[in-house]
Order: sequence, then C-alpha cells, then structure tokens
Amino acid sequence: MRRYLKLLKILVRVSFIRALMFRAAFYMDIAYSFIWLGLFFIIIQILFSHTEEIAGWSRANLIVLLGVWSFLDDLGAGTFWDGIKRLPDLVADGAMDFILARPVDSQFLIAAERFRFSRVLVILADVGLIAYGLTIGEMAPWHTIILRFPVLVVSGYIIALSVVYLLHTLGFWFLRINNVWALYDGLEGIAKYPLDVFGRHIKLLSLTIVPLTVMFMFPAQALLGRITTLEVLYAPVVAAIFFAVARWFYQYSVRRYSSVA
Amino acid sequence: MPIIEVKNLTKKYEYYKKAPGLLASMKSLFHREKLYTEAVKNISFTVEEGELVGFLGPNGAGKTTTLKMLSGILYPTSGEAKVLGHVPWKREKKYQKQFAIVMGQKNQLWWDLPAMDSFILNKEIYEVPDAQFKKTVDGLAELLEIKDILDVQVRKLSLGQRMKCELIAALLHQPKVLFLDEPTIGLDVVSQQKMREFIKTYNEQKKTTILLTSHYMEDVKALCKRVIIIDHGEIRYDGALSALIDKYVDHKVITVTFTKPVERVDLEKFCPVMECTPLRAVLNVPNEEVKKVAAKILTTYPVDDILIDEVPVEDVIRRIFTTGKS
Amino acid sequence: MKKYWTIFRVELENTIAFRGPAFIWMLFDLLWIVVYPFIWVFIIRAQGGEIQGWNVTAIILYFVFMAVMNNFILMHPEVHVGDEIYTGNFSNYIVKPLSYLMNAFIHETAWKVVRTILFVPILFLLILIILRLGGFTIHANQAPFAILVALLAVPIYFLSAFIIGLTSFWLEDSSIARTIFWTTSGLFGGQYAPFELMPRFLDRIASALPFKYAIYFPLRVASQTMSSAEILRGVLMQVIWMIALFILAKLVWKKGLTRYSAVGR
Repeated sequence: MRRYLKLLKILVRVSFIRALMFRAAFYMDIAYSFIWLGLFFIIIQILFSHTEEIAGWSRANLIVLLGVWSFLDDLGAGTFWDGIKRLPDLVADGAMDFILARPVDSQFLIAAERFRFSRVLVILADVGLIAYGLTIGEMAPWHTIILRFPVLVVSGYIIALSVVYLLHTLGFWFLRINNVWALYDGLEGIAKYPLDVFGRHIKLLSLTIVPLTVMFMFPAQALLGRITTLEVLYAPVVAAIFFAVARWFYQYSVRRYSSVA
Repeated sequence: MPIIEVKNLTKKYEYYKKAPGLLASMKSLFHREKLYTEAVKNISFTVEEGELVGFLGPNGAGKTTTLKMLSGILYPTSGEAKVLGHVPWKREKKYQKQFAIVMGQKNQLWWDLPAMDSFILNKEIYEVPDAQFKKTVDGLAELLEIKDILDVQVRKLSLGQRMKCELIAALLHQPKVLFLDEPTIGLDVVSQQKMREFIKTYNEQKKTTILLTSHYMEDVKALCKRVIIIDHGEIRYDGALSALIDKYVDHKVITVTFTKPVERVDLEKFCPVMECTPLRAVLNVPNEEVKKVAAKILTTYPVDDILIDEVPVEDVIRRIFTTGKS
Repeated sequence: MKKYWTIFRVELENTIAFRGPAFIWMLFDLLWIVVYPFIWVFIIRAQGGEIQGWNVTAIILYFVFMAVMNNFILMHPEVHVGDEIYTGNFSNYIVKPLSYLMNAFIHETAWKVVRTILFVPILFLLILIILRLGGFTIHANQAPFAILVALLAVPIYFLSAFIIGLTSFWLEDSSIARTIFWTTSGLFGGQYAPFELMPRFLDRIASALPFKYAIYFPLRVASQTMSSAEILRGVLMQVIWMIALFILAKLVWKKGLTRYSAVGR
C-alpha cells in the first residue's frame, strides 16, 4: 500500500512537471473549462426566464446541481480521465505489453499517469458556483452536509472511475475505439439537469444501470437537504458494485488479450 | 537446472481477411473471413544460466512472439515454458521482478522528461533500494558513456542514446534474465557496435541470461556462441554458431587474384567458378579438396594473392530459410 | 471531375473502417441535445401548454429537426484540419493538384455519408416520433426552398469550421478556438433553445453571426409559413455569409501558409 502511495507521488510530480512545461495548454484548459461553464450557466438563465422550477428544482437549485456536476467532472478530468483515455491507443501500438510485464497493478499505472493540474483551479470555481447557488436558494444544515456530502461525492467519483474504465477496456476488444470517451462525455452531460425530466423509466435507469442520478444528483440533493438516509447508504453500494464489475471486466479483457492478441 | 525451459510451445493467431477496394469494404460490414496463422509451432529448447543466446530469423518468424510468451505478455495456445522456475504467463510479481524486456524502437521511457525521471519510476516499481539504484545507474551510465545526458529530455536524444537509456531503465533491478527484441534495429553502425559491446560485457560480468532476437547477422556473430534459428514458427537449428557452418557448409570460398589474365574455362576444370574477371576469380571448393586445389592453382597460375574463406554465415542462413529443411 | 470521385472513393473506404468511432460520434451529438426537448416540454407544460407560440408538439419537432440537421448538414472539419496542420500532415496535400479546401470537404463528405447511413435507424425512430405527434405540415410550396436553403447551409457551417481549423497555424493548441466555436455555434445556432425563447439581446447577437443561417433558417423554412420576402431575405443573408466566409477562408489560408513556410513547425 505504501509502495503505491510512493508511486502516486512520483506520478503526480511528473504530471506537475509536465504542466509547467506545457504552460499554454495549462491556461487553455482553464479558459476552456470556464467557457463551457459559462455556456451552461447562460442556458440555465434562458430556461428559467420562462419558469420558476423544473421538476422541483429552482434556478438556485439548478446552479448548485451544475456546480456539483462540474465539480465531479473536474475531479475525474483532473485525475484519471487523461490516463485511462490512452488505453485503446496503448493497446493498439503495443505499449500495453510493457505495462503488463511490470510488477505493478496495470490499472493503477494507466489511470494515475496523467493528472491535470489546470483542473485544480477550475474546481475552485465549481465550489464558488455551488456556494453561490446555496446562498441564493436553500441549503441543508451543516451537520447533515458534512456527514452525507463526502460519502456521496466519493461514491460518485468511484462510479465515474469505474464507468470510464469499463468503456475504455473495450480498447482490448475493438481496434478503433479511441473516441469512446465521447460516449461517457455525452451521457455525463445529461446529468447537469435533473433526470426527472425524462420520466419515470429513465429515472429508474439512472438510479441503476446508468447511475447518473446516484453520481450527480445525490450529492446535490445532500447539499439541498433533499436526500434520504437510504439514498446515502445506497450510493456506496452502487459504487462498490461498479468498481467490482469494472475490475473484473478489465482483468478478463487482459486475459483474453493475452490469449488471442 | 536450466533457467529457461520451453517444451512444445505453440501460438496460433486468428485474424480477419481484408481485401482492398470499396466493394470489399462494404462486404466486410456484414461478413469477414477468419483466418489462422501459427506464429510459433511446437518449439522446444532450454537455456542455462549466463548463456547469451541469439534468436535469428526473418521477419514474422516467431521470434518476438516467443519472447512475448516468455515475458508473460502472451499466453501460448499450447505447450509449457518455465523461466526461473516460474510459468511466465502467470505473471507472478516475483517473476516480473527478476526479468526485463527491451524492445528495439519501442519506447518505455517518458518522452518529454529526462530519462532519470523514468528511472526513478522504475526504481519504485521494482522496489530497488536507494543505494543499489545509485550504484547501478552510475555504473551503467559510465559503461554506456551517457552520464551527461540523463537529465536531458528523452525526445531530444538520438536513437542510439535513447536505446542506451532504455537499457539502463531495464537493468536497474538487476534482472536475472534479459529479453532483447531487435535491440540494434534502426541504429547507426557505431551505436550498433557499442550496443553489442555493452551486451557482451554485461553478460560476462553479471552472468545475466540473455535472449536476443535479431534479423541482423552482425548481432548474432558478434555476441552469440549459441544460435537458435527460427523460421515460420519452427526451430531449424539450435546450437553453436561455429557448428552451424560445419553442418551446413561443405565448401569454402577461395578468392584468387592473378598478375596475368586467366581464362575462365581453364579454371572450371578444377571446380565451380563463382565469379571471374580476367585478374580475379572466386571459387567454391569442397572442404576436402581445398588444400589440393589451392596448391594446384598456386603452382599452375600466376597468382598474386590467394584467400581461403568461410562461406558467409548469411548465405548459410539464407539457404536454411529457403530450403526449409533442417 | 474524375479525380474528385476517386479521392472521395478512397476517403469513403477509409471512413468505413472507422465506422465504430463514427457511430460513437453520432451518439455523442445526439446525447448533447437530447435533454433539451425534455426540459422544454416540462417548462411548456408547466406554463399551460404554450410559450410565445411554442407548444409541446412544436418544440419536439424543433429538436427532432435539429437532430436531423446536425447529422445531415453540420460538418466538423475543424478537428481534422486542425490536427493535420499541427502534425504537418497537410503539406502532403498542398503539393497535389487539388485545393486543400476541396480535400477537407471531400473528407468530411465521406464522413457524412457513413454517419448518415448509421443515422438511418435513428431517423426511423424520429419519424415515428413525428408521426405519433400527428405529423407536421410541410408547406408544399416551400419545400423546394427548404432544400435550397439547407444546401446553402452546408458551406456556411463548413467554411466557419474550416477557418477555425486553420487557426492551428498560429495556435499550437487550437482547442480554445474550437471551444469558442462549439459553444458559440451551439448557443447562437439554436441548439439549446429556439430563438424566440431566448432573451432579445442573445437573439440579436445571433443575427450577426452565420450560424443562425446555417441551422435555424433551413428549419424555419421547412416548418413555418414564411412570406416570399422573408425567404428571399434569408437566402440573401446565406449567400452573403457564404461568400464572406469563402473569402475569409482563402485569406486565412494564405496567411497561415506563409507563416508556416516562414516559421515551420
């Protein structure tokens, strides 16, 4: 365990050095994040110029949801996203072989190699957005937030990590699939709005097989005081299941790759 | 106890046939023909500790596939293998810490950072103690003459320098077994030679078992006492390089230069003439008759210089590949 | 003419090999806008079934058409062109007797063909939705105009995107240019809301940009009664934008090429 922490330290340091070297990309990424966030904020204003609430979420609530959504997205993009995105290409040009021949967990090596430090600053903006939304709207009492919010955010993060890994593990099966990240990006994008607008069936789906509600809405609900204890306990269970499935699928895919490649 | 034991190792690949043209592309949307190829067919061999064995064969012969199986990267279709007592494809951490694989032209180092940073990562991955790490890096850098480029970004280095860094990265954890896949490919002549010297020295000093694949004859000639020739997935020859020549070559080559022109027809009375210009001839002479023919030529013709040489190993190998029989 | 066809055939063959990624891009585009019809329906129902002339049927039709337009009209050369300039690959094309613009256009058309084929099942689904909603009135006499207007929309969007791709000559990382392009063309092209439902000042900004004439205008001609004066004015704007963008593209290309040969990459 300590060894992996040491490895993590080295990899994070390397990503930091890279960020310093490619400073233009660093600033671009921050600008880019702010522009998208700005667009979504404008869209919320447009929507709410015609109504007071959408599926029980007020303008202030939706701003909180946007902030939470962006916060989780930036957590992922800042840590495992760029690392795991490389998987299909690593398989395609044979670099995966080297990674598999090393006495370290390959999933760890792949996911931890590309941290994006630019996202750290954007996360601050996300927190600001959340704070703004909570100020102009409702907010749950502090003691409930402290208990519930971290659990839900961590669960959401683990589910995101697992889903991203699941999708990219397909790189072992299909040759040309290096834009599979777009599938996750598209699905994830839906969750900046309350999934209730899609109706009961989709909402059910988003609580189970495609757990967008669990990932994004639950943490926002916790901040707004709209979450039940059952939901708070449910999220880590979903996270554990997805993590186990993703891990199993990865290991199965590696075995198949080594037999068939 | 041999360090590497391979018994009846076989690897079959399946692939899809793809014909050119638009119509074929359309068709391939619905149905693709699956084909099989046997990259490695039932090969067996053993390697003792400290040996430097060369795997020689044309492209696609199965050399890289064999190395990949021995490093645990690929599972065989059938057969067994044991390296250092471990089954490679079980990918036991204990085994992985004892071997290293370097593939020519394939980069394991981080491209945009100095090689030293990649070394530090490897140090942690293989759990190399600090003192040993420093000693190993310093020693190898000295031997390879690259002490001053370890802090230069890898992408700014020449291919030769990069390969040297790749070697250091692979040898940091003092592996007992080293797999080198085409290590000199793409290098300039000087770098190739330096690489060969290093491998030879390292093998002699550390007694590391080294398996080297190449399609360059020079690599094998310079480094390997023992050579395994592999072609179309089968082993055609496994033994000493010198014995190879003895086994397959029943003649020597005599090159004669004359002071006065000599007719080809005259020479042909003795033996097959390979080349003939008025003042120079190259003859193929059966081993038993070499002394006799040489003496005869020296006494009969105005000879300026005479050279008795081995058949180039390349020709021997080429013959083995084209005839396909061992 | 023959050489264009040959190049197209080769590009098409290449693209068929990329049908997996093409399918994913198609889903990606759909996922981006799928949530908005649902939200707007929700809002409209909450407001009693109509907002400023838009009822539930109309808004759903709007987004269905938007999805169809996105798939048939919108080409995205900015990524391909941007990458080719960044890697220097584009120089392979400029030595051949075909303008780079035509090359990029053929490449995108090949992608469009594959994407359209992949889109067919989705199209069926969308048609079913439309029929369930009671169909829609096509103004028969406007139909030929709708097609003309849609055809004119293609080069407008293509040229805008192409110019964005060309920024790669100056920006090592053109992702910022692309981001600005995507957010702007999305918002001001009506991808998230019909213009009538957007605040006036945003609508005014949109009228100063070409995207309204690329996406929104064809949609309107197909679905709403317009006076011939309106249609004519719109077509005129389209033609003006097309010419302006074409000139701009040529200028930027020339400047970029000069910079490239001087500075190198």
